[in-house]
Amino acid sequence: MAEQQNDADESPVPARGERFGFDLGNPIRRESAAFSWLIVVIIAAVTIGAVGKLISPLAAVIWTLILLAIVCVPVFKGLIYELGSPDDDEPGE
Amino acid sequence: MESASIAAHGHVDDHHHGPPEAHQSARIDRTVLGILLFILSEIMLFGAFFASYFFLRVVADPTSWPPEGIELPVLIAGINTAVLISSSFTVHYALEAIKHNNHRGLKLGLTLTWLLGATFLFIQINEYVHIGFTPRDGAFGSIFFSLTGLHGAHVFVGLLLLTFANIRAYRGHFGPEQKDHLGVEVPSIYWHFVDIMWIIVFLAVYII
Repeated sequence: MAEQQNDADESPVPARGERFGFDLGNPIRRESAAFSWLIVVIIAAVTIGAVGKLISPLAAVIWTLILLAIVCVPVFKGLIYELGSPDDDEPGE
Repeated sequence: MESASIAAHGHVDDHHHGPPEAHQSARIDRTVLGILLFILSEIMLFGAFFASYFFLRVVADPTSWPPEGIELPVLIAGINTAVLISSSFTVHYALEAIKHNNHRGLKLGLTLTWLLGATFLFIQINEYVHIGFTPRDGAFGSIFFSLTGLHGAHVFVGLLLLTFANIRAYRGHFGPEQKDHLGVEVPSIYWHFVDIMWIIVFLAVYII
């Protein structure tokens, strides 16, 4: 378990932030990255709540979808990159 | 036979017994993949409940959501949200403390996190008792208790994990090396996930 974790830390895959311009890291590998994601969600939630109260619930839903689209594209690309394809596997590993 | 084994595995393994090793990506660790699949399944579970919530909200009369006669305790839920968010800060503090070999900080952070989590659950149960409607009172009551109850169940599981982490912390099981504090880091990641889910539940049900 510990060796596997160390292997994960020493992964040749660059951190998501290095590749996609924001430095949040992988929240399932490091607690500090998960905490950063929490802060981002809190900030996003405050803006969504403000839109919902000041304009309308529908506007809040639309704003949420816009934020999700902004976040999901780099996250999805990062996920696909990190999972890799079978062609990336070296024989014997 | 040996050449067939080499062809299948790509190398000669003189010491391997039993079934062949499962194929594994060179890019992602098995443990990380397991956690990733778990988190994705959790997101889909919550997603199904959120889909139900918004479906019911759309098909219901939008001008009367929640239905007339139902008053949600937004202030109490807001305080409860602050309590849960605070617990994420304390668990983060606990992990940072053990990274710096501060065992006292670890114990303080984990104990505070457990207490804040338990406070959240207590307030939520108290809210259920005094809220004035039940899951039988129409679609709103049903989806309200389902969504908040699903989250409450996750908080309960998180509290169980934190209980084990607390016991181990007081027994001095953790250390500054990453391999020596995984028992704190993994529950912490789960706790942040539960926190993020509550923020979304709070926004959807109480605010917008």
